Amino acid sequence: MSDQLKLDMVQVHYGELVAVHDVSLSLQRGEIGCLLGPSGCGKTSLLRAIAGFEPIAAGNITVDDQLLASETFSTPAEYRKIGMVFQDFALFPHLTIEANIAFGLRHLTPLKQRDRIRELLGLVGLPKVGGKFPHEISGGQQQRIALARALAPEPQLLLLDEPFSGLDEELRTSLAAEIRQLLKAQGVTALLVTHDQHEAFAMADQIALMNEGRLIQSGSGEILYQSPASPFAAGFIGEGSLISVDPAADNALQLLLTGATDLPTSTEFQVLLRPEHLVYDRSGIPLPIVQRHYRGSHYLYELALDDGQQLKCVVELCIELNPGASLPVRLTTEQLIFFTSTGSPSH
Amino acid sequence: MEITPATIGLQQPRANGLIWRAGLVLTALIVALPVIVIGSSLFTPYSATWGHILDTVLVDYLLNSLILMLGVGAGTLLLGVVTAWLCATCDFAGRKVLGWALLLPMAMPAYIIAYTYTGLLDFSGPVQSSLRSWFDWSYGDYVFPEIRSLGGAICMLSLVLYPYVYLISRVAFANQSGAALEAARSLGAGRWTTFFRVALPMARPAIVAGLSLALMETLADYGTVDYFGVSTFTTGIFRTWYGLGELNTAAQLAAFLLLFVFVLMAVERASRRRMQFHTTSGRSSTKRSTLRGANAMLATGFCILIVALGFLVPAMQLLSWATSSWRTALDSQFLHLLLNSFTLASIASLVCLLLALFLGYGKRRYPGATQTGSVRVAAMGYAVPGTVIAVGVLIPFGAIDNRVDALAQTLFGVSTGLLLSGTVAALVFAYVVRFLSVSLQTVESGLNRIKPSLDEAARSLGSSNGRVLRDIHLPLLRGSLLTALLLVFVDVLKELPTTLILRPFNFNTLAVRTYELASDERLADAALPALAIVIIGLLPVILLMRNLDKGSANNV
Repeated sequence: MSDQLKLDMVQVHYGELVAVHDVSLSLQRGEIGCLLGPSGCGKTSLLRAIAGFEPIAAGNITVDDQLLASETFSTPAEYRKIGMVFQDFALFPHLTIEANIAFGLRHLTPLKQRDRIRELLGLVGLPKVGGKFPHEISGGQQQRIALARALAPEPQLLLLDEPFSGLDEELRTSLAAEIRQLLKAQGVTALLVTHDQHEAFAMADQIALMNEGRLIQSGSGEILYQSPASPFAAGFIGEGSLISVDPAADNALQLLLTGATDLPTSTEFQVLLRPEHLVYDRSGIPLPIVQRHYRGSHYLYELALDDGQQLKCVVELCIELNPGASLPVRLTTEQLIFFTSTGSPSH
Repeated sequence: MEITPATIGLQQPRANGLIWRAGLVLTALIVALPVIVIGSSLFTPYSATWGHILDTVLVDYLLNSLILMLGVGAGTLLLGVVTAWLCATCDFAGRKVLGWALLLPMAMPAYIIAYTYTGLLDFSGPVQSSLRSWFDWSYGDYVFPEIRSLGGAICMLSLVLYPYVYLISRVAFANQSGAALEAARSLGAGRWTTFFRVALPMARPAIVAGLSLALMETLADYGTVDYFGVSTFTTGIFRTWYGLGELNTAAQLAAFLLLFVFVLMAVERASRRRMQFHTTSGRSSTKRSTLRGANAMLATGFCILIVALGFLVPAMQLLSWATSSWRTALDSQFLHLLLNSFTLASIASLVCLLLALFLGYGKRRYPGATQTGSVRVAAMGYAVPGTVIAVGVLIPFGAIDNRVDALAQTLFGVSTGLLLSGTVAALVFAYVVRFLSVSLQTVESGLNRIKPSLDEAARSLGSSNGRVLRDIHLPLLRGSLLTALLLVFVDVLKELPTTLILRPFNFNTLAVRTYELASDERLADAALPALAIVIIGLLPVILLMRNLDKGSANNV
């Protein structure tokens, strides 16, 4: 059994409210996982349950083959050997950076503590800030110190709660890549919570998409993007439109979809059309333009169907048409993702 | 699966929360007891004296209290708002020093400034004597306003209570979005129009909140109005209890006073709620405009005048009396006074702190409507006049004493006498009722600054609850705890009416001795204990000045 973290049918309740519903997941040693979903989907509750800050109402939480929580008991957070990086970093304001990192190192001798602190400060690239107080360093530096503090006692699992939300956009992407490299080099098993799919893609090996307390789909970023398992996954990940299709109708949409294979012919269904699925083609199906957005390297056109549903299409800058005119387009692929009313996804 | 210590930690039993909640509710009820007793006295039989009071003095009490409130309201508004506006938005010579010096009158209890000005301004005082010698007048040649009057009381109270308005509206003016004021200017409003149509309305909730605090203190005042012979509710309650011995009638009068207080509390709470909407993110705070010429001199002069009248002149007078009388006044009796006052204040501030910690932690660990409500009820005392609380303590404690005594007599044939009434315990209880809110506020704001994620971070790094308290909470709370102790300590030291009514027989404090000596017209002898109170009263003012500078560091 090489699963470092194993969740088995975990439920978290707040009184009557079921925040997390029967979630099962596993992370292998050294893997970085991510709980992704809109706010209120239960991802933070689940993370706090793993850390030991919320009891679970059903299921099991196992870390390194040791059962930490079930319906009947809960190991106190301080015995779990699980590190956590908090959304607001939660650095102790009255302690220096060194003392913050040393907080979890009481089992070591002072000499070994000093060595470990130096090692960690070097690891996060801030060898000189040890004597400062948290308010004397920048947000990005606080973030790294929070990571160093959580890693100091060599936890079996590292949890990161929206670790980049307090930082500005530019810092966010560069830091995410940097921290992923660091965690990988150290062989740390980590689980991250975020609502930002780009962060999830940049950090995680495995992404678990959650909505309304339930696990919707888990897998790598590529799988989630290319083969969404439900209309929710299709809508949440990436840019695209879910278009309702009536195969019996006779309209521009039907003409556009004639190139696609395997679409149902008897029942109504929804088809996922991402901007890259459509391409400008002078001999394509003309669709009226609603809006044109300038995106630097290209234009993003919003196009209307007969019944008012809208599509998006990426087009080179040389094709400059105004709202009201029509843009002729065709499909770039024969394999489209569609969902019948029962919700089952197909290719 | 192996069983290790890590796997046997059981979930915390829910009963724990129930105990905390019950404790919070019980504490709130005990603290609210005096107010409940006073309120329910309205539904007890009214004695014959009540009819007499209704016919004769009640109208006086009502009218005088109302005029006093109107006058002090106008006075504190004028002094407080003008100085706040000047210090927050203008620049003139001495602004920084005057900005904090304007808080000094807070250290001066109203009854002490009243004695001092009486000594300064009465017929034999230095002012009238100098006038007579300069102009060669004698008695009857001139008209000099009588300080010991309703008008005099209004002046005295306004001079020491305006800092409430000043402090809170200065912060409001300073935090006003500069953009809103600039928008008004760009829409064509001049300096004065901008002040009256934008700045003042935006600061109004803050001003009203400060004003209602000043008026609560006005209603609670006993020393000044008693010394000036003005009949208000507080003196009436006193007279009914001491003069007529009618405790129940005193309680009924107190209940009427309580009605005024509740109106003020409602106003204060409502305006505090509205303050949240009116304060904008202080990102673009007001830019100071530099005053020049006559305007600058007027601004400096006005602020100096107020600081002088409210603090410097009375403090100098006290000092000069004290230097002339200290040889006789500084005896073993004075040391005894100090000891009594310090003991009382220390015990009360410690009890307040412990209760505040209990309430604050209960609310933090087990949040809920019941807990929030309990804490709010427990914090109600700040608005209730000391006279009212004292009567509200006398009645239930007397009843308990009588029951216990009767029980002991029937069971053991011995009389226990008065166990609670007239003891230090009763006095400390009354102080706690009145000042718990002070320590509660400080402790709660300290606790609020410790984000729950800090506790969780510490625990995820392997520390027990005990270590979280010792290594995280204690160091972060230390300042708040000391502040809470200090504030209650000083408030207890200054408190006069509660102490007068509830003190054990022959038990004197600095405040009581000052009152007694001044009432005997031994003003010079009263100066030493009065000066001691003022000097100790400066400590929280200094604290306030430091916080004010920290809070508005970006626009000072």
